[in-house]
Amino acid sequence: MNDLERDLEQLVAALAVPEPPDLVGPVMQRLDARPRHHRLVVAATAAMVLTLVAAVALPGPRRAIADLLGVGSVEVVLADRLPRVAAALELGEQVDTAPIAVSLPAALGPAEAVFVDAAGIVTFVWPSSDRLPETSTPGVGAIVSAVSGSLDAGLQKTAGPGSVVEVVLVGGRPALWIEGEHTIAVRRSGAPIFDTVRLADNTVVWQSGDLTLRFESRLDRDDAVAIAEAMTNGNG
Amino acid sequence: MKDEAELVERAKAGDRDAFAALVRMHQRLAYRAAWLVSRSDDEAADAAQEAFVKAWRALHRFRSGSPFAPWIARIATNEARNRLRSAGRRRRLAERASREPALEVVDPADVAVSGEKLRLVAAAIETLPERDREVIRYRYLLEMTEMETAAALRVAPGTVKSRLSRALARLRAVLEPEREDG
Repeated sequence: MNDLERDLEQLVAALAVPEPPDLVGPVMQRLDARPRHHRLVVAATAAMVLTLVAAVALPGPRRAIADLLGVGSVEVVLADRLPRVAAALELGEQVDTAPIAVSLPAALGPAEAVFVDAAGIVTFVWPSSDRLPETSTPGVGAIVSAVSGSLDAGLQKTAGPGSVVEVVLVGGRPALWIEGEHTIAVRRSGAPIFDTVRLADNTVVWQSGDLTLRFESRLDRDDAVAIAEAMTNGNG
Repeated sequence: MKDEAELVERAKAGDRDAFAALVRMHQRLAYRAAWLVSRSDDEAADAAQEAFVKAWRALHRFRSGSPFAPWIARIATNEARNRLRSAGRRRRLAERASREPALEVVDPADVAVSGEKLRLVAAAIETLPERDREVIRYRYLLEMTEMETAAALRVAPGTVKSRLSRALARLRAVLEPEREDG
């Protein structure tokens, strides 16, 4: 070991870096100080940037990484432009019984149909009604989709300008509320499958056990979160 | 002492007590990392606190099983750096055209260094480009291993070796007129 390296090792002690004050208290306070419903209004500004993944699918120039929010198997990307929408609601094959156990909200009544797509994502569909205003998909009032954590597939949502992305609590744990126009794409092995991009309506995304759940409808935040809570309590 | 990986898992699931334990475990490192950049007690405390808050919000991106220390050191370093930049303050400790370390540099941080020789080394480090300074900071001043430094810099361990040898070479060059290598 030479002189310089020895000096550097001595420098640590000699620098007399002060001992920190206790940071635990202030840090935990700062965590609590964040409003529980933390609203992020996504606006199209020059500073808005996109994830590399979203930029691949978006027309226009690439930009740097943006904030990536995530709950379970669903990632939400904030963007100033939405990907081109290619598909209507593509849910896969209709099945008689769901392959995974999901506690559905009694308030919605029985689901009209259950689908499983190639990525293994299970979707329950309710028709539009007085209770459930029609969504962007004709005839559909609400959708619950469930993604198992063990699947390689995930969902990617891109929230465009005018969307609201908010952190809410479901079952006492952080969840995401996405209001306004956004797109959703199935993502497999990290790469988006953009021929399954479609527009989505107001959505709550949360995790319950091994499942990442989405509830999509035209209901407002409080009603939608209540539905999610009811489902979570059932799932335990 | 709780297993760090277990604490991380619990914190990722939203367990605040687990996260508080992680803060306790790593606050000294986070603070030191920030202090070495900002050289101010208050700024360092602020930056370190904010670093932990950012870490909490980014936990879902933290790979379970990875060591927490390099990650929080990196976040704290970046936080301290951003604050320097945004405050519009560039700490000009010694701009050098010549190789000679300026003994007249009056840097409050230097006052904390005992011994003339080490004072020179500290001043010389500050004259290096940030790329060199940061590898020296992690490896020597924060006493991280090569693996931890690699994780903090997000490079391969081999790259740490080469960056370090380049940094030390530059440091020697700055100090050369003053020293005799033994």
